[in-house]
Amino acid sequence: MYAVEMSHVTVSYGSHIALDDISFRIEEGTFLAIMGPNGAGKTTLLKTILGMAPLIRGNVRVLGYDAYKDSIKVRNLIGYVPQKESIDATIPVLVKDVVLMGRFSHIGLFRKPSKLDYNKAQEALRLVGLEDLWDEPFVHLSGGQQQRVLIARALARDPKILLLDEPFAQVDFPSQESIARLLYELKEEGITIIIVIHDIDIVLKYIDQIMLLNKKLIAFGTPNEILKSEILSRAYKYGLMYVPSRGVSI
Amino acid sequence: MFYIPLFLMYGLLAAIISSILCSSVGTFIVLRGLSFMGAGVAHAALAGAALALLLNLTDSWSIFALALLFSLPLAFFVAYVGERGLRMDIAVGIMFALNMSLSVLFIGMLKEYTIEAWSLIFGDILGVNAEELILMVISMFIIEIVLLLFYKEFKFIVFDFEGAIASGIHARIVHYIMMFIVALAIVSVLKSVGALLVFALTVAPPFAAYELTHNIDNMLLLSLLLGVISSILGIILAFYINLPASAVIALTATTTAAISMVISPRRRKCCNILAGRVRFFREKRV
Repeated sequence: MYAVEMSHVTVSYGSHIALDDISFRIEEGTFLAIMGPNGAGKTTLLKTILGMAPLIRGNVRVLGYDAYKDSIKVRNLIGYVPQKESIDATIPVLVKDVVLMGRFSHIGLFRKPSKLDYNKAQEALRLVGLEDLWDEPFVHLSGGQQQRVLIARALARDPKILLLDEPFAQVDFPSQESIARLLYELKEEGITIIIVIHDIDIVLKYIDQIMLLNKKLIAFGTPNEILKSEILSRAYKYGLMYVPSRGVSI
Repeated sequence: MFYIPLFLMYGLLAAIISSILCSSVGTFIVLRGLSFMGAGVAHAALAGAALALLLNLTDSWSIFALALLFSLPLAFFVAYVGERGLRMDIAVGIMFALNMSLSVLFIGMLKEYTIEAWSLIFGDILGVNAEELILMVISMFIIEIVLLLFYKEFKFIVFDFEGAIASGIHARIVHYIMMFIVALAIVSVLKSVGALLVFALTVAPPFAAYELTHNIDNMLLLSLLLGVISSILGIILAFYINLPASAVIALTATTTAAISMVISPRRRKCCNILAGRVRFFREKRV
């Protein structure tokens, strides 16, 4: 069984085609990085895995389930870390409120979080190194800390697949390394990690595969196969080359 | 023995229930960035109530039913626009204009009951009767039960709507339920507070509470408390100074919001940072 399997997937917002005829498969326990220029459909691809983007054609299966017909089952298997800009950080919530939100679909309607839910939330916060901030207002945290709380929220769900949309934005260098290392450890435990990223250097030593996207699937393979200037140029439309420790450069 | 006239007793009760209803839903509409929603729904309710008067349906239940019938499409339209990722405030604005026009038309066509129509615009909290009070109490129970049942989901969707959908919560349905209780609350207080002043009770206490806390649970409780205090204070002041009660309640609520802004720890923090910077530059100069 594959973690994610797409065949001939086309996604469109009105007349704007966001993803065009995408087909790929990834094994369970894979660490995949998705790269591509702005507007390439990277976030849309994550939302398609969640069964949230408007599917025009094709088939999306996640751990054997149809992502659109069995969307609630699929979403319960996934931990999703959105781009931080998509959340309203001015809402007066505490860190524990945010992490516990990850448990809500498991708790179900009309019920309060149990002791187990609190334990899972605290454990998730400990994994991202912010256990001391349990009772802090979310708005008081730095951008990087808020990002880590959102990762903890996804981890509190006990996910089989973790989807992360640019999780290193506004995160300082030591935190980037600790988050990348944490993702690798989760992958070692069998969790499939799919990450949208611009600076591939941060996770390069941990990832198994790279997907290069620009509305169409440009390339899909191991880092050694993908990080070549002739392949990168097909996605970014500029003369690009990969310089180790400096990422992708023009 | 201290004597309280029945109309004042009803007025006090109506004021307390109105503030509970408005603060409960107001907390979420303020956090959802839909402060104008209260005014939009109130004017839709006004159009429905004015139509009821035009059709000679003057009993409280008929006015309530038609007001709700006009308010729900607005509330659901706003929810629909929101789930499509479009700007909900524009949807409120368009529906506000439509319903305001209908209200003016219906009130203009009224040959009788013009005083009742005016009381729906400006509120008549001391004229609330037992039947209207019963309606308000029923609405309060429905809204508070819904709030208790869906509280954690409401919290999630105001913080991160897409994240809530992605986590497997039926966020769209929950959002429609939230909009339903907003409409129900505002329709229920139309007679007592009035279409214009309902805005004050849905926005001012939640905003005052928002200024005083960083915790949404405390915000909701504080909003309820400040709303109730403003209402009781407002109605007592109005009674003794002999002024329109709804207007005085709105004034006490907005004054509470202004005071909260001044003493807010959020702004104190800004002031502290500013003071810190001034101190830093002074010391540097020395």
